[in-house]
Amino acid sequence: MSSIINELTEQIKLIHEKENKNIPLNKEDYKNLFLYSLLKESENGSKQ
Amino acid sequence: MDQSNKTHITLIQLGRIGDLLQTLQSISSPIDLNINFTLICRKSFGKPLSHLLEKHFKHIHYIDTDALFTGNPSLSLSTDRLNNIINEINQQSHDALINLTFSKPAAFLMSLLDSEVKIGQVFQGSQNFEINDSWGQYVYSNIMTGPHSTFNLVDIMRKMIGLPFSLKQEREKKSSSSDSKKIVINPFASHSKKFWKASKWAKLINLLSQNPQFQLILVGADSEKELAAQILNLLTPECKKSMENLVGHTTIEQLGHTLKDADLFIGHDSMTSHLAAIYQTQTLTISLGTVRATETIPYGHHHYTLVPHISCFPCFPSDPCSNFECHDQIPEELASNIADLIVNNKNIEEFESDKSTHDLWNTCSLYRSEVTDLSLRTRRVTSLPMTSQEIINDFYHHCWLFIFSDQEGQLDFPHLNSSLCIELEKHLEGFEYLFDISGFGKQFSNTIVNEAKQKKPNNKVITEQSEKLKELEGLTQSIKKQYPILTPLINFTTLELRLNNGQDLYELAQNSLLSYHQLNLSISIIHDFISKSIQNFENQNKAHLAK
Repeated sequence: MSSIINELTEQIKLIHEKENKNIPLNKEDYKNLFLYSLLKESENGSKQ
Repeated sequence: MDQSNKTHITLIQLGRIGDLLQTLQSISSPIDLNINFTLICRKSFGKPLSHLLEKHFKHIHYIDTDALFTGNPSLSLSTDRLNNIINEINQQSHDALINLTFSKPAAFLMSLLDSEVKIGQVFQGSQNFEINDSWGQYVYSNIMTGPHSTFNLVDIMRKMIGLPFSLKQEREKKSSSSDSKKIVINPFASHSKKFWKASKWAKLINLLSQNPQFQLILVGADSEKELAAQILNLLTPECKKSMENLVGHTTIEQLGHTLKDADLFIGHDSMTSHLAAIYQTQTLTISLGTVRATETIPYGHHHYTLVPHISCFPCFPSDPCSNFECHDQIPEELASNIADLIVNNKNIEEFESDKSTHDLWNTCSLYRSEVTDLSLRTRRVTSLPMTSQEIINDFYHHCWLFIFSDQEGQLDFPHLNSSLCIELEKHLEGFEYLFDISGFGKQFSNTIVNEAKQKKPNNKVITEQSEKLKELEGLTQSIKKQYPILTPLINFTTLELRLNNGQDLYELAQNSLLSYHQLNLSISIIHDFISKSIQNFENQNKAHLAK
């Protein structure tokens, strides 16, 4: 699981950089944000 | 292509089984609504309920969130799996997509799905989100931030979907004979903050078992067998012998049948309490920890819940707590007495006003759900007058219904006394301050609107007025500290101003003008309710003296 977390963490960094430059996010960014939020949620032990 | 001309509404509910049951209740209707409902839920929570969900939803997309990450996949493999899910959902047409979950995954999923109309929270970036509907904004500003809401969550979901209120006061008659009453007990919940420890439950069950009329059935999931054993070890031999233990022995479908057959359910805020409500069985729940009784009491007429008085209740899931002080606020003896009163249809107000029971009520109150003309209300069961906070909560409830849904419900004058009048007058002061602020907000926003319309807008005027608007926001937060009674209105307006998504200065100022106008109108409504109630009390006093 750690490899996908690392990959996603990298992608989230890139998303933040994009946002700092006011570049609109695309569908692929939202897919990464969705997957990342699911992983974070299971880390926190909550599904709410 | 669907030729039926039905509207296609898709609901996203990524919460747990209890949330899914509430979602199911939110679309129940005695008449054909001419709507095809689709549900998007998690497979792990949706599948055990498929026997109920599939009766009401035309399509169900069970998302297996765990399978997205099965087998230590690479990001590209997980993305491929996610693409399959999204493509499958997007193949269907969604006239409206409604997010009922208010969690990050659900709000990001909203951004990935196609629909002209999106209601509820939708992320626009990694931190910024939109909520375009008033009820969704109400949830975010008043439910996510604390116990400020007077609405049951099922009613809020119905309003987000746009469905009318349709609950009835009737309840299906139970088949059991009058000398035997089946009570189903589920002593567990999703978080340790929300359920009593074994010793408290054992004491209550031992008390209940002393009533020869009661036939007790213990229920729970397979994973709760160990907790059940802790309770069973503390029961008297007679109690253990007479009680039926079904913990770990029922599917949710079988549990439903057991509940349907029962006269009363006793437990906490859990999936089972909502399932009992679906099967028209009365409930008595013990609200603890994070539970907001008004919002989550099982949906239906005359459900009961005991609520602790302690100031830290209700808390948030993230609040640290080691001693669970609220758990000790509710006496087992009181719960046992109330169970007897409910199943035998006895007057609970009389019991509450009986001096011999006063000690039992020192640290908790009993609340009851009541079907009114426009919504389900949850009110304290008491023979005493309402508190000023409860009176104003009632006013807020009617104000929101009018502002968001243009609905006017029946509202009687509250029973007041002199000290309540003084308290209400003090609250009135706060509403008057906020009224002045909203008036300034309207004025400053309007000046910017007028300036922005000019061919050559005066930037100095716009900057000055914008700074004044910022100052108003700061002032509003100070007033909230001084008059906490204003919190619901201030929280709502602050969020609405923050979510202002105007495309240019003119639109931004116009939206701000509308927000302050709505605040102004809301205050006028509540101010009017309070003033007229005080006036009515004074008139009654005058009439009484004239006699």
